[in-house]
Amino acid sequence: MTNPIFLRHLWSDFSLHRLLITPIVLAALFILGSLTIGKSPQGLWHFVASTGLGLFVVIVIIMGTWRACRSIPEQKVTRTWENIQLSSLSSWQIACGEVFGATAYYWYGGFICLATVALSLGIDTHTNKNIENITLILFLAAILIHATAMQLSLATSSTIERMRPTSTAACFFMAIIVPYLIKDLIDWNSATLLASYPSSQIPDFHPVAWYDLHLTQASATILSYSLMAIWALIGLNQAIRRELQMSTPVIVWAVFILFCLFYFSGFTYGIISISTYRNSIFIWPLNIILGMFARTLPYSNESLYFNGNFLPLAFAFFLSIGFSYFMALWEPKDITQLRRFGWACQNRDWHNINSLFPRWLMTASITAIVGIVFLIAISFERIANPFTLTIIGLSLFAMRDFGLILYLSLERKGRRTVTVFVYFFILYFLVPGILSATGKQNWLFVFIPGQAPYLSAAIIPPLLQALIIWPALTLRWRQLSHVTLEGLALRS
Amino acid sequence: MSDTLLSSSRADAVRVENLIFDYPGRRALSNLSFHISYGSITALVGPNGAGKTTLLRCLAALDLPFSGKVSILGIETNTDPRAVHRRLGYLADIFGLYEGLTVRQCLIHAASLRNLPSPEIPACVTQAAAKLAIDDRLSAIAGTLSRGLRQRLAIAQAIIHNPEILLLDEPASGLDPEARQDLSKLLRQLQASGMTLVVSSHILAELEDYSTDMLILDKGQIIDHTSMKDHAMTALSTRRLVLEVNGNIDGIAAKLTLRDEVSKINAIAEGIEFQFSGDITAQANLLKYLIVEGISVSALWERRASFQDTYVTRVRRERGKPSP
Repeated sequence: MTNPIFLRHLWSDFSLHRLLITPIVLAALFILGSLTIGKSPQGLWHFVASTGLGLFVVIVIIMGTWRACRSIPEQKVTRTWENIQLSSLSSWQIACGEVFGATAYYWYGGFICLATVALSLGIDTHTNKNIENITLILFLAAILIHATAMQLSLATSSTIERMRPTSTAACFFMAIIVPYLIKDLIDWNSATLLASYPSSQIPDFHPVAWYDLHLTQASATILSYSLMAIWALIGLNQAIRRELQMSTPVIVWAVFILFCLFYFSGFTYGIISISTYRNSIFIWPLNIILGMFARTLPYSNESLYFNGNFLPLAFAFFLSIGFSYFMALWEPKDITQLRRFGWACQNRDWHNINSLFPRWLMTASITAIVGIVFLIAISFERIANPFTLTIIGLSLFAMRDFGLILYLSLERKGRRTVTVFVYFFILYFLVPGILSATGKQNWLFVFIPGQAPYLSAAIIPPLLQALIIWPALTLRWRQLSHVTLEGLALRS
Repeated sequence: MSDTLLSSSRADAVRVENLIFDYPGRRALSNLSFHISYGSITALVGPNGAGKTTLLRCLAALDLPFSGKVSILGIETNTDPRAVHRRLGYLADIFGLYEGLTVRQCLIHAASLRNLPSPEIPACVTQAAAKLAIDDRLSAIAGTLSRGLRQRLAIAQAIIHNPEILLLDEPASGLDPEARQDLSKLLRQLQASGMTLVVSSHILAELEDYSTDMLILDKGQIIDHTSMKDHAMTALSTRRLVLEVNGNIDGIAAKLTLRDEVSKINAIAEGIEFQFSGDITAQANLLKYLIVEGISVSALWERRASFQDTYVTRVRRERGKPSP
């Protein structure tokens, strides 16, 4: 039996006119391109294949992702989402019906593009065979992006009545950036490996190392996108379950985080020279994180080597702290939900504890565990001290920041996320900027983690700031809670 | 809470115990407890912001309570919301239709969402369309329908799977008088077929036509929950009668006070209004007595307490205001 949600999307989005006009417009684009800019040295069919992939990106990845972001929030605004919530379908049926149904029309256009790619490969055997891999990678990336976009938009629209275009755009860019980051990590790993080969032994393919396993760059990307697409669908299913008021075990989120930490850290395993991090230009987000590491090292020579096993732990810690900040900012923080969670804890109601456990808190807990394991692992290394200062400083600053995010999130009015970003901008850019401009760089450690010269300087400033934020948060919590305290009394 | 809360002697389709629902920083429902019998039509009434929609959403397991229990057909919404979803129909106050689909497609989609077996879907669509008198519009695009027809389509979608409980939030709003009459008829039919209905509305006169029970909410609390039968019995046992006379009313009040069944006598524009606790024979005897006493009676009629009167009286009493 056809998925009813998928079928409804087909009814809504496909008309005879659209079915006919789409291939006509695409064919016209191909013809126009081949007549004007398609006279490339590699031949017509190479051009057709490249254009097909380019159009696939525009139609499926760009336009399809925008549609995936809009689909469920639009259903909420038009009040048709309640029909889905009250349906007898399983959460998986709803998740698959929505993610593939909402984007079906774009897939229709995309498949026409892929058909031209297949045609060009069939006709011209000299066309780059790598296109087959690129096609598969784009296909998987599209599923990953669509499912991520829909999941993010669902989480965003659960707290606001009408999603603003800025929120949709934020979901769109967040989703689009996911495969880019994964690809960057793999490319960086490949470049790092290639750099380690003697010039006479450079292989004719791009190698990638994942722990002790060696893969090609394409197969590593396909594997990573496949796994993350599965996780994105699991995440969407969890978001749908939440909408259906079903329990959403936090353990699923914890397993996802642990999987990401283990899986992505595998691409940093065995890298033994810090210089490869510094020279990396392939992965700017990783460079920001690892650049901070590099700054903490007292050694500046390029020949610094250390135990290659500890870098995955360092990477896992930074990845985990990144996830914690992301969830603290993104996850809806509703006082009623938090109080329900508090109440479940008080009563040791494990079912509700598991379901209501804030994801940011779970991620922060995992970060703390990874941090402790990391500190133990490096305690015998000669670089232990600067890393220890960085990790302690980062953890305390994170504690301050989570307090600040919660404090501002419990505001009744206003654009809370924007307010949080304004505060972060002041704390991390404006104040340090003023300090730097006035020649007081020595005081940067008060506001920036990883700048502290000694242990007390790493601990005291963020701790003092956290000690200001958390009592203020407690006060706000009590103020907001007093109107509903009666509920707890009645239950007891 | 009212002392007229229904007793749980009959089987309960809906059971609510100590239900509390909070919006961030605001309590929407405060410790509600009530139950609704199988096969009843409960009118859910109350001023704007009383919590009617929130209560209906909690009953539909679209929102889970902060605390307390909501049990629908014996299933707790907290433990198995999906089982509750499967067994009820719900029409929101602002309902949504798939504007670009035909009426037939909308109904097929609604039936498929309810997992009805494929071979049965065409029959269910025809049946639901016929019930709502939209069977001649099956090919029309939903977005082109009038307000009344849209409402009918939405109700048809909600009942396509023959739910045991139907929750309707302001189903009559925006309907013309004829469509409202049709709606009343339909709700009575659904009740007759064994469905339990909870209907929230502001139009009390119509609720009176078909409701078996009335649940009054104000500021998130129940201020009355009574059956219409009890309401009618109360009205019957203590009726307000109006006596119109041809001439002066002086001295009539003194004569009326001699009768045991008469109390609370007031002079009004039409004549004299009083509370009468007797039955219809006693009323005939009273009339005979007045005529024998030489009072020129031009009319003796009963002022019925409408649903509206009961509602207004209850709400005003709750708010400490005098009854009108």
